[in-house]
Amino acid sequence: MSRVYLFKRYERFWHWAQVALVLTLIVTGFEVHGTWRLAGFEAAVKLHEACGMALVVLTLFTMFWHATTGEVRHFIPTRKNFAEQVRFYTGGIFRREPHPEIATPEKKFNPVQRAAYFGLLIFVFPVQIAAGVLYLGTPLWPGLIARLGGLREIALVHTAGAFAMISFLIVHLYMITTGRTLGANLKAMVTGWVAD
Amino acid sequence: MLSASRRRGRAAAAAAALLASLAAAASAQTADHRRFAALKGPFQDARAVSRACRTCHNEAEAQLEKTTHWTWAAAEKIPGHPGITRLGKRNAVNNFCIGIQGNEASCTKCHIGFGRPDKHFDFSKHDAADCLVCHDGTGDYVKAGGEGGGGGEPVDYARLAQGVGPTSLRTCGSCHFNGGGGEGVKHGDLDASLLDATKALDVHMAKDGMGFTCSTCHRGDEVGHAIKGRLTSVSVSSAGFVTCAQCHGSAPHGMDFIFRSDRERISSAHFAPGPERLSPWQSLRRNWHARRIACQTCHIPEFARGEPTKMWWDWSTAGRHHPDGRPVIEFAEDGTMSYWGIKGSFRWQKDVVPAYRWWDGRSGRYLLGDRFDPSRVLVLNPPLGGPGDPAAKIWPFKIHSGRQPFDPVNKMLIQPYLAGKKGSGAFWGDYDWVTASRIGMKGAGLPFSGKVAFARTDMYWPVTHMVAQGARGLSCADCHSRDSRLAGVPGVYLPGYSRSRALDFLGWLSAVLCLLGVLLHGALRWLGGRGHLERILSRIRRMR
Repeated sequence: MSRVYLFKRYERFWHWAQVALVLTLIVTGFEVHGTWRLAGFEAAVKLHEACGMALVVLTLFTMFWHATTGEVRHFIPTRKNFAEQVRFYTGGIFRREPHPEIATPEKKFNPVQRAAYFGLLIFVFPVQIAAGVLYLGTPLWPGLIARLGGLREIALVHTAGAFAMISFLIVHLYMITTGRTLGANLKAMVTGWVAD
Repeated sequence: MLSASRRRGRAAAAAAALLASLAAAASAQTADHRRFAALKGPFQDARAVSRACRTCHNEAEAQLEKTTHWTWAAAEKIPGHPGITRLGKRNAVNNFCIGIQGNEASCTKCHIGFGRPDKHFDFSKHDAADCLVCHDGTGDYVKAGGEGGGGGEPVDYARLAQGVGPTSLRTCGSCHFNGGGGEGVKHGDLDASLLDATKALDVHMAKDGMGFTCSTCHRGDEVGHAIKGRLTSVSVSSAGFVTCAQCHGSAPHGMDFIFRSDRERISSAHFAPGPERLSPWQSLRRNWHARRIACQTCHIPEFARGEPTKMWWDWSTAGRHHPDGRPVIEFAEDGTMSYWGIKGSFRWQKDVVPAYRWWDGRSGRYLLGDRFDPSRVLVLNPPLGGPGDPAAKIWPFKIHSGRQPFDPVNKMLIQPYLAGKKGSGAFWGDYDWVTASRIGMKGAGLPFSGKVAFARTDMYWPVTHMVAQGARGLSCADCHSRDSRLAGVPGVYLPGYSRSRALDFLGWLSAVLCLLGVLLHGALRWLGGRGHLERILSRIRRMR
């Protein structure tokens, strides 16, 4: 059995740092939203702001990394094998059929993964980060906030983004188990290596 | 919002500086009143003392007579009313003792003059100002009740005359702590507990703090006797307000204390700055709050923190009295008076969380003679301004509620004749609303149908004194939480409180559907993995 080195060290760092930040942002964000009370409003705000700024920095670095290494190509959506992959997830997987595609360093993600991550990184992330930054810096650009409809509108967009993240996370966590074995994908994201 | 101890060091230094500068001013007095021949006495009464004062302070009376302390009225443009109205204590209506017209004998004890300033009083007449009521330094002068003061027990007036000094919490408080006929009745933020306030009660007036007197803030443009400050209980405009910003500036968080004069600035140089500062980001955020949130909203967590204040006054129950005419009096469990036969039922409260409203400093005003809709609560002085008004901020208020007499035919509030002896027709003597109303309304020059009913009224009192020491103000979650203090204040998005219920529902629905989806998918995989799924499917096919 051969092994393939799928996720480079920076990618894994990015992924797990993002896990920590996003989970903290969700927990503190919903405290700021008033959904639950854990750290106290003021502490939750401070933590949320710190994690949010850290996530912005991480995202900028990662964009740079993907652009300069060319790894960005993994996220470009494709139609090739898309239907097969959907059929696999909705049928073949129940009959233990083999995956239609095998992950390789040249093609890390299958077409459905590409579509999902592309949507997340191109739509949810930027909107969420933009709304968060606007929200955070309210005193710095009051005119802009007013032109965009007010703090309420920005807060609602940010809340909607948070719900989108939660929904994504639930499906994403489940999809971890859909690798060649239940633990294969998790292991790949921890060690970088995937058994072929 | 107010993290503990952050500003304490610097505030204390500023306080000490200010105190030092004020103390320096006091010791710089160039006259010892005990040595003036004019004050040797003996004096027959307080009026004679005031006469003696004016032999030197010969501009004082002319200055005083221009102030509302004397005139009890000022020209005001009342919203919703044409032209200019002379409005003040003389003719304003409230939901405490209702109004002084006709009741001057009792109510004008707090006028700074001698005699009864009723509609026959000549306000341009000199020789009637009472210097001692504001400038008594001995603590022994009590302005007598009835006939506008000036009577009372004979005391050693020469000693009072030689003991005069600057106004003090006590002299100002002798009227302003007792408005409405007793301590804490009207103001929820001014009572005798301020005389020995701690910093927790009032950081400015605390003896162990800044040691302010009233006039430290309520000083005018350094023109004699032109005291700064007004209140919406009688005034409708914001002109002449004492503000926090007159010392602290409009963006004070994280900034150095702003001194009003070079003298104060120089004094401050003797003190080291406090050790702790707000981060620039926190300062920015708090100052951002201060754009639309009055300082008082965060820095006065509750009012009536020293003594209880009256929150409810129901005139409709008044009248119960003993056969000899003495009114029935009852007390609540906490010792406050709950019923008084001449006035009705009361509710008092201590440590009251204010009501919060948008306010731009102006107020509406119910004037005697206005018609109103008795099916709704009549607000006598509604605070004006809303979220769309850039001058408006969210302010804390004491709302004093009650029921008071009105004429259900003419649909106007009644100015009753209250203070008078048995047989005079006054309500407090004869307990007859119709007679008291007829006399009162006639005196006020208003019609009266002969019918008396009781209307629900509210009155707004902005809360502005009893500023607590920094760390004792509100914290973020007092407003930013599901049980927000600002619940119901329109036009503001409050993280932690505000939300779109529809969005929250859709968001959680999406999460739940995703969860159900993956659980179903997982279950199918589990069944398929053991071949169960195939068997089930083939059985279904055979059944067809």
